[in-house]
Amino acid sequence: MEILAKDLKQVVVFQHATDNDLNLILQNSITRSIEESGFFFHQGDDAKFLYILTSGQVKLMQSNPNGQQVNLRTIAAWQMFGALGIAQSDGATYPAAAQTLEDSTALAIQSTFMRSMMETRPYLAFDLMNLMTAYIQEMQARYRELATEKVEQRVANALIRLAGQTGTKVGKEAGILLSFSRQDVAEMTGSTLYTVSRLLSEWERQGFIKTGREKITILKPHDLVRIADRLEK
Amino acid sequence: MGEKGYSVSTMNEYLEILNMSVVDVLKSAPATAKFFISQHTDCVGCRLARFCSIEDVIKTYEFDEEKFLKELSKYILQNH
Repeated sequence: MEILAKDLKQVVVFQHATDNDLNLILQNSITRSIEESGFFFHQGDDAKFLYILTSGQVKLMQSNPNGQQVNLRTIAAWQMFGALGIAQSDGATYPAAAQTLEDSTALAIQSTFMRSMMETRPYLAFDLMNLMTAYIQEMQARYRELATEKVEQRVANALIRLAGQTGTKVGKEAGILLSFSRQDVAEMTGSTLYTVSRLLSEWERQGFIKTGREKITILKPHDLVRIADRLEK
Repeated sequence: MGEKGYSVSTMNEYLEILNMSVVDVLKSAPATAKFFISQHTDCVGCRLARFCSIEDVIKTYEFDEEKFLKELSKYILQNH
């Protein structure tokens, strides 16, 4: 499949590029096709190229020294990836690997070439900044979720443990009664009264539990187990 | 014939199963573990299984009650 200048208009970073710009980019790029499960680049490789995926699907993943991997992002057609070589000067390396999820094709553009284009075309640089800002905001949201959901999981697990050991079933539909206060739960989970109160209020709003003075009633055991177990995995 | 077209004896049996807790069902008929797993419930090994009745399970996972009970009773019979 031949890639035309107008195809590149779909790339967010190139949305304000002129036809002349796009043709220049095309002239200075090569097409690379990678089979399913292959790599466009590995973590730690020199970031000499940036890529525009033209077909297929690619996942960006980072490994820690023990080999554990996290999936950072999945790239779809007409998205840019591996672009950090533009912003960082010589010696930049890819912080993640790009592995294909299916047979994929991408346009590889030299980082130094893209950098020199942006030096004289601020609209390209601003669109790249926009993309990077959106990525940072997404990562901030994910970091926040990671930090808060860990507590959520701990508190859900504490309630389940308490229910398993000391809970009593009250009425047919009424739920599992626990005779513990929010402070007790905070101490059990190495958390604060404030955090536990916030979580319990949220669960009460969702109808999973009901809270009273020195007591907590689990109304939807399944939902609590789901919170506790899903995050354990 | 009773409600929904099954015989009164079957209906009574189903009502009884509906009110049993998951733990009691698993204890009295271990073969049912296979059935719970095949239905992709999280019941086997769940720390709160003693608090849920079969009726709760059907409601939670939105199963077809008649079909679920029919299959479950087959597994219960395997242990008797």
